[in-house]
Amino acid sequence: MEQGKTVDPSYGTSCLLKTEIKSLIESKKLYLRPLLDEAQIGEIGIDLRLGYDFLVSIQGREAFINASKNDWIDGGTQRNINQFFQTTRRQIGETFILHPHQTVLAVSLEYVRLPDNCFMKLYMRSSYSRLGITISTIAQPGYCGCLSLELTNNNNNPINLTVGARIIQGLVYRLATDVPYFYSARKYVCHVRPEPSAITADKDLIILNDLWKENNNRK
Amino acid sequence: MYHSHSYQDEAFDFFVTFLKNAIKGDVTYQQLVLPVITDAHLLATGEKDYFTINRDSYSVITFLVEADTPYFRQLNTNHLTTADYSQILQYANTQREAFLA
Amino acid sequence: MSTPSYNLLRLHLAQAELALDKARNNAYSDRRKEEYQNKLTDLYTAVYQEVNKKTSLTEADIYALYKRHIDFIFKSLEFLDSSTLNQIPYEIIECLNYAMNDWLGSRGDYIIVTSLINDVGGFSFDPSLAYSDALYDEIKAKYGIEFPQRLVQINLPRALARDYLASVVLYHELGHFVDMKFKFTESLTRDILNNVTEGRIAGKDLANLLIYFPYLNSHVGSKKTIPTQSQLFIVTNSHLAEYFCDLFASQYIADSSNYYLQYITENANFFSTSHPSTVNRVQTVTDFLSKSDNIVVKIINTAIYKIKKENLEIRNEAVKSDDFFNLVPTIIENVGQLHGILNTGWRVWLHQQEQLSKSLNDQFDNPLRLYSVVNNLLEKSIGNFITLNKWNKVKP
Repeated sequence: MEQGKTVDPSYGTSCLLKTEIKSLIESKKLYLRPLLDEAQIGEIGIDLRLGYDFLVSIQGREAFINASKNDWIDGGTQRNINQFFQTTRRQIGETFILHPHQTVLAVSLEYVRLPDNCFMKLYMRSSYSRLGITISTIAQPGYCGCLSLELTNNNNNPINLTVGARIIQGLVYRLATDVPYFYSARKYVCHVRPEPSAITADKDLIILNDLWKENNNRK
Repeated sequence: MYHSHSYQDEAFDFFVTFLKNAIKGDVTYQQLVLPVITDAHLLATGEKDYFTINRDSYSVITFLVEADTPYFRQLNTNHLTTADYSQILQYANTQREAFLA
Repeated sequence: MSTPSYNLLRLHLAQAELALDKARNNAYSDRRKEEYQNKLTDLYTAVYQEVNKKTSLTEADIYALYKRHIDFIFKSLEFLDSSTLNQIPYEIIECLNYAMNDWLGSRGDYIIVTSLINDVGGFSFDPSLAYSDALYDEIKAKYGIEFPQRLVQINLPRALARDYLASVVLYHELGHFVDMKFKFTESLTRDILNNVTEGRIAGKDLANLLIYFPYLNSHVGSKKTIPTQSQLFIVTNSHLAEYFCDLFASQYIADSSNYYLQYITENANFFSTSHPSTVNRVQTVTDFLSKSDNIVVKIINTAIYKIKKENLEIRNEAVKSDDFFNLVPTIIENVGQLHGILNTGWRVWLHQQEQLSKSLNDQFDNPLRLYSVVNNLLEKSIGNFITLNKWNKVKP
């Protein structure tokens, strides 16, 4: 296969190969820190490790997470989404149990900065997918920070994960043009620990809530 | 911020407790006070100075020598008697009271 | 036996048992803390058994022996409980560990523990468990229980536990511990006061000394011995200790702490009973870093050499890199740079905010965003150094 050739037609982009990834690292266009082992750079992607900070979802006194701007539904007491998560830390080499159907926010051990013309799609490594762990993440062109890993265990059994283990595979895709990360306002910048959702910062939600108020005579 | 003197009091409290037990004849406590008394003697004779006496018991040693340098100069630390422990206890108490005054 | 004081001792024991029980599931960042906690349990058991087997206990015995030992359990737990992996500011403590090892050896005899307190100015060193080994000696002699390590207790504000700029102050607090272990400034105080009252310091040295200790002027050549418990001794000692700690810290973090100090003290040009004037403190550090003559640096170095055959020296390496402006953590190559990165963070914050803001396409010109970016990059730079070290130690 010719290098740089499109492998995912739905995006119209090219999945980068090992030599290209290495070349981007050498030219300081792509950063991966720390890179504990060169072998993490595979033929068509980069293996990423599980970091040591976690945000674990907990059931607190609030009835639900309000992912809207509708304050009628919760009596105007919209709580910070932080309230629904608890931080916990491990050391590299220690383990972390992911319980069935639990969502845990983790980060990659590696701090990543992508070039402005590349984005990264994250997949569980096959061995972990087979255990029933799913992930759904994309890192935008120019992204800088540890990668947010939203892990969910779909297995019926708890799974014990090792901090520092290579659990994710990142495929890097090249775009035809630069899309600098900071051209638009960004909610997630240079994060090194998992951050809870900043969903309520979405401006659309204000408009949609106004619409709801209009329809329901709540103005 | 750091105020050392309440901790110097504590160091003195321990020394006083140790001395009381030493006076009762408890060998364990006699061994605990011996290095302190020995260094007080060496400081008094000039064989050691403020920079070379035991660091951990520094405040107790210097207080004792300040209390009665001639006494500690002539003290036979190879053969400490109950009377010696009692005398040192008195110095320790005097010094402590002066310090707390 | 059921006297009120005996029953109070039993109350204290019950409280200690509950506290130990609660601490049983603590997950620490350092195996030695777990070992230390196990020793506390051993001590509790020994005290409990001894108290139970006594047929009579005087109030004096209770206070002089057992109460103190239970107090020790509580004090230790207070710090251990706040030093779990989830709570301890791990990265900065690792930096402090390297600094501590420079002075106390790397045998692991000392464990830095932290207590997060609700006071934004609450950086301090708590010497209660470290001032003297007497308590440990007594526990060993009485119960045969030996604590192989000592806790170095540092308080820091809960609100600033992840603030790598403000945290440079912790190097100063560590300095208090090192000074206390070696009694550098306590010994020096006696020496200085004797030299002043005996008229052994004169001329330029005396004039320079009086700039930093102006209150000694009236004692020059007085021929009077200044008692250890006198106010003059205590103030001089306290000022020397602060100078030492400033210098100790500046070996590692250069002039970083000066900035913060000047701000929080409003650059005070007067001394208090506990602290020298900020102007004099800053001058001392500046002179040390620029290797200019300074009487305070000179006398403190003399004392350190006499006691430890060492000198104050610059133990950090400046990190020269544009990584922060590329919004990536820096690769720290050695321990000198590990300390030096904190100064880099300060330089960016004080002088290069605009450049950093430009990297963010100027959209984050509010202080909180820049503060988060600087802190995150500092944390990850330090964290990566620690991770790589651990990895390289065990990899085949």
